[in-house]
Amino acid sequence: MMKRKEHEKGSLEPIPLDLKKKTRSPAKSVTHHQKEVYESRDKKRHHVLLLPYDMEVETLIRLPGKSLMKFLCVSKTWYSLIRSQRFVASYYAKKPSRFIVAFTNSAFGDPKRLFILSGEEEKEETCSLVANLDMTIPSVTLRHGASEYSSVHGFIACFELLKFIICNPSTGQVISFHCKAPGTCLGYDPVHDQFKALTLLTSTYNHNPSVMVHEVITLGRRGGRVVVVSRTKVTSQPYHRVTRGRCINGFMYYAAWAPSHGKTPVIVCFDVRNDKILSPFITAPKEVLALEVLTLLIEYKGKLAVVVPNCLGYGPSFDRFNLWILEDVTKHEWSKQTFQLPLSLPFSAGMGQRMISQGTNKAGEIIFSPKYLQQRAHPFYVFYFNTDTKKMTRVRIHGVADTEEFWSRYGLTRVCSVSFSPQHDDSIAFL
Amino acid sequence: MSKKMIVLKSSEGVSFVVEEAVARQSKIISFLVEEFPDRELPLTNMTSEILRKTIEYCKKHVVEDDGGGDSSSSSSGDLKEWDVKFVAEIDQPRLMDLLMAANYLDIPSLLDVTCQKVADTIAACNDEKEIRATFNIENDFTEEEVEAIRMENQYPI
Repeated sequence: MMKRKEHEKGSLEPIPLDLKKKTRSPAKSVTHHQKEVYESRDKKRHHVLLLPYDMEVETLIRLPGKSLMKFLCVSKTWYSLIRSQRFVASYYAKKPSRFIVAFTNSAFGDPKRLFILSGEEEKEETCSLVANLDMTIPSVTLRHGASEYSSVHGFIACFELLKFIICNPSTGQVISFHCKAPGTCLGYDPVHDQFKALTLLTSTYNHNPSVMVHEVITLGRRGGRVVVVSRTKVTSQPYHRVTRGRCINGFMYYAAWAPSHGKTPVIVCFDVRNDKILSPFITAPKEVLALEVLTLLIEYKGKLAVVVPNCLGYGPSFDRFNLWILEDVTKHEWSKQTFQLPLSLPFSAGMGQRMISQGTNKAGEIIFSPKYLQQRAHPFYVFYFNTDTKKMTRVRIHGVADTEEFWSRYGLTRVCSVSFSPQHDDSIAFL
Repeated sequence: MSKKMIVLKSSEGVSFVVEEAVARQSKIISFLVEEFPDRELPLTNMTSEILRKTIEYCKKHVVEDDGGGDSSSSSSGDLKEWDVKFVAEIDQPRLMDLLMAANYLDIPSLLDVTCQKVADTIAACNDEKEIRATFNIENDFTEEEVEAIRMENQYPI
C-alpha cells in the first residue's frame, strides 16, 4: 500500500491537449459520462485503476465480453464505464469481425439444444480457423428450410414457435418474449440505437388477404430489465412471404411474391426507424426468387444481394452462380454478375449435402458453407470464393461438432442443421 | 558520420543522451526535435526509471535505415518475444506508469504491449475481488447492488 502511494507521486499527469495529436479517439470533447468519471475520480483517487479514461478504454476494450460482464461489479467507476454508450460503441467498432456457427440436432422432431459458436475471421489467407462454443440455448430447433442466422448489430435472433429469442454470444445475454405468430425477425435502427422485431400476423394460409397486418415490437430497458416497450400494428399491400428478414443498415428486407404466390417477385422492405413498410415493394428479377424457399438474402458490400446457383432444376451440384445485387433501392435497379467456380459444390434440395452462401467476409469473398452436418464427427469445411481472383479457398473450421467426444457428450444423433454466418461484430450492449 | 544525438531529461533532472532515430519513435519527440532542434527536452512528468525503460524499448524497436535490412520478417517474431519478456519483468505500478509514458510520448507499439499486458492481467483474475486486490481498487458497491448487477446478467429462459 505504502509503496503504491509513494509511486503515485511520480506518476504522469494527462498530457495537455494542445501538445498531443490525438489519433485514437475521434471524440475530442469531454462527454457527460467522462466528466462524471473524472469527477468521481477526483473525489477518491485511490479507488480507481489510476488511468485516464482513454487508457482505461484502451485496456478494457481488449477483454472478451464475458469477462467485462463478470467484472461489472468491481467498482462503480468500472460499471459506469463498461455500461456507458461511448464505451459500448467503441467496443463494437474496434473488435475484429467474427463468424458465427449455429447448429442443432433434430431438423425435424422435438426441439433440441441450439449450439452457438464463434471464431475470429481470417486476417490473411488461411486454411484453418477455430470456433469456440459461446453458448447453448435449450429447446430451440434450426428447422429444415429457413434456418439461417445472421447477426443483427451483435445480436442473434431465433424462435421456437411463438417464443422469440434474442441472444448475444459475446456476453451470454439471452432474452425471450412472446410473439403472436411464428417467423418473427429482428431489426436494428442505427440512428436511435434501437432494436425492433417484426412479426407478420396475417397467415400465409390466408389466400386472398386484402391487407397484410404486422406487429412491430420495440425493445428497451427499464430498470435493469429488457422489456417490450411497445407493440404497434403496421399494414401493407398483400404479399406472400418467401424468406426470412435480413436487416441491413436500418432496413429489413425479405423476398416475397406480390400480391400472391407465383405472381410478381418482390422484396418487401421494412424501415425499422419509421415503423413503415415501403410502398411500392421493390420489384425483383424472376431469377432472384427462382429457388423459392431456398432463396437466401445476403449482404454484399453493404447492399442486399442474392446468390443463385446454376442448378435451378435442383441438380445435385453447381459450378457457376449469378450474383444479383440490389444496386438502387428506390429505382429498383439490380445488377447481375456470373461467376465460374473452380470446382463444383453439392446442392441437394432435400436433406442431403447442400452448400449455401450466407454472406461474405470483410474482404468481400463470398462464403459457401454446408447446410447440414451429415456424418458424426466429420471435419467442417467452408469455401471462400474471391470474385476478383476467381480463387476458392477451402477452410476447415475446427470445433464444429468434429469430434466423437462432442457428439456423445451432447447426445447428438443423425443429421444436424447448421448455419455459418460471417461478419458478426462483438457487442457488449445490454439490450 | 556520427549519429545525431538528443538529450532527454527526466523529472529528477537526469539527462539521457539518445540517438535521435531511437527517440523519434515517440511522435511527440519527433515533433519537438523538428520544432526545437539543439535543445534538450525536459520530460518533467517521467521518472528516470520509467524514462530508462522507455528508451530501452525504443532502442530495441528502432528500425535501422542504413541499407541492407531484409531481416525484418525473421526478427519480428523475436521482437514479439522480447516485448512479452519486457512487460513481464515489470511490476504492476510501474507497468501503469510505462503505459502512461507510452501514451504521453505517443509511442503506439509500446502503448499496445502495455495495454495488452494490463488486459491480460485483468482477464487472468478469477473474480472482481482479485481485480480489486491487484489494482488496489476499493469496492464501493453494497452487497445488494452487487446482487442486482449479477441479476442483470442472468437470463433464465
